[in-house]
Amino acid sequence: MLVEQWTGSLQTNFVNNGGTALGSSVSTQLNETMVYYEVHIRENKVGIPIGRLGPNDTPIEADPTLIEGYYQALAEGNEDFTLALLRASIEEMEDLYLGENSAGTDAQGYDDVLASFEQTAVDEDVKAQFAAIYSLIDGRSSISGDDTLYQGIPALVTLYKSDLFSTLNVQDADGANDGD
Amino acid sequence: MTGFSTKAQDFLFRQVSVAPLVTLRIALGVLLLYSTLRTWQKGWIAELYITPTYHFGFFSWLEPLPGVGMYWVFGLLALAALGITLGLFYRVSTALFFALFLYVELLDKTYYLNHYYLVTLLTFWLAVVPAHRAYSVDAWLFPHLRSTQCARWCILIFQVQLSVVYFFAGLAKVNPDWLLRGQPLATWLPGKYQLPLLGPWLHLKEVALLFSWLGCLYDLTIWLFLWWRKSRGLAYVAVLAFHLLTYVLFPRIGMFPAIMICGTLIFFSEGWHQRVLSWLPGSSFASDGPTAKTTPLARQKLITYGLGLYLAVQLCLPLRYLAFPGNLFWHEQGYRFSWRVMLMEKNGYTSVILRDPATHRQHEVRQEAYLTPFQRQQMRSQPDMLLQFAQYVGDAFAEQNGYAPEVYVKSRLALNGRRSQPYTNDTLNVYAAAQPMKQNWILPFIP
Repeated sequence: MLVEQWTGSLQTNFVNNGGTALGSSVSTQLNETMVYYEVHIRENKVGIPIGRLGPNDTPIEADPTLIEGYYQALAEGNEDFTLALLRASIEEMEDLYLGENSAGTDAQGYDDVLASFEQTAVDEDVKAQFAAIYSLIDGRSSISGDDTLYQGIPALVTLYKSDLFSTLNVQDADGANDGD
Repeated sequence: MTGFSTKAQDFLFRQVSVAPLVTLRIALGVLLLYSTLRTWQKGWIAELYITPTYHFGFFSWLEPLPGVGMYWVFGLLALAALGITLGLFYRVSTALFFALFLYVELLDKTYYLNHYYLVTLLTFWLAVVPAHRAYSVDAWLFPHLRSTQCARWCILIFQVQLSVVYFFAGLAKVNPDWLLRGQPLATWLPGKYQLPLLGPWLHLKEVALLFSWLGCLYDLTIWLFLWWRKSRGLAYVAVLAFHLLTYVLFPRIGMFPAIMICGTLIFFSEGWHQRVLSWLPGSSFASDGPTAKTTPLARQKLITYGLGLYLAVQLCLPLRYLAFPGNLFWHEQGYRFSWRVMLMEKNGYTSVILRDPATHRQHEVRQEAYLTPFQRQQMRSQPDMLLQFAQYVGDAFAEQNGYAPEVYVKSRLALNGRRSQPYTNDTLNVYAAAQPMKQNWILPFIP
């Protein structure tokens, strides 16, 4: 159904909402990706089960039953499925970055945009960062335990926001105000 | 009294036509009224001053009024702007506008804009000069106010002020990023590819460089051409072209182009202004009222010295950054109040880390729980705001727990199209540090 919508009007709308200002397609897509990554992946899949923070900076207790796919993990006696889900969610994000579809065909992505800006170093760093996060995940048998996974995830956010966003002139916030 | 100051006084207090001041009063009045209503209509009063729980005040004791108080402030601003336009209770209107605008401006560094600063200065001088002597409700109501003339300094101060703005804006552009790398325009322009005519060219580095050089030359010299009678007409065409182009390219620049386009009218001759004003209903310049209102000698002296002091401050403020070592764009000490307009694109990612010295537990402060996205974005690249926030979250912790936390700032920023680099020393506990800015808390900039 998504594909249908996309090949219909959505694609045209996406392309017509050009530029990089806040509210443009590119800006919205990248900013939503960051929310997805920071909140849904980092906090919900990792932060909450290991007991990082609740709302308003209140510490919460670790609760391993809050991992994704808890009952499957319980049934199988390991967290392989949970970790696979985590990995897959980050792979989706990388696909978007690379412009790859689910079949693995590489089309135009942000990596190509960076190349056109002659910023291949940023591209290489982003790819290396994805690889680093995968190896962090692959090296674990459980979400819980130490917090290296939780601490390692944000490096990609830093890279996105300080280098990718800068190159593309995408802002992560826009004041309800004039600028000068 | 020395010969120089007598001569200066003769020059400054020579009687000239008040017409340029009257046009300026009406034009700025309309703009200020529009700008105030626009702020209201766009919902910015609530969004900027009521919704945020924390404000980066220029003074810690200065806070937005509670409840609907800020709506009263903007309501009064609108009334005052109307008063300025009509010349109704002019002294009260200008003083009120100046005071309230200054108050609003100082509430939060997030919203600092050079043209708000300019509005503060212009309305201060409007409150001092007699721009209500003609074509005003006051002059109609109170005949003793009427006059077709004013002292020359009343016009000069606006001309000098605008020259200062242009000159320092131009001087600030004389830097390698702007002139040699075409930055930040080279970062900003490519995204505007959908603009008609210009769009297809904007991704070219050459275009960014061309615009950079033209902008720099424009700012450095336009005020000279506005002063010079022979080039004035053409210079004003350039003023229109330049500011309209900046508005088309950067719509977020808001009221700034309009303020400069109206403000620079002050450079036109008396005759020009009288002709423009003659289209308006009401008193004409040939009409009644005493022509000259001489200023008592003691007051002349006071005004002369006052003007000298003001000019000195205006020339020194933009240069105060020289007192701080390092790259101004990086550490931003002495950046504000200096006519540095659209010089930087600074992006990055910043975390504020709170550590409990008792339990050794540390966590990243959820900035979104305290700050709006706009405040977060502005805080990221401005060290004094980062320190204010660190103090604020530290105080909140201390109040809750009865002992001081450690606060660390971990940050990477990219300046003007470069790769990002570490911004702060994340091992310095800024909550305990007496003078972080002097303790190399901001890491040196690597070009």
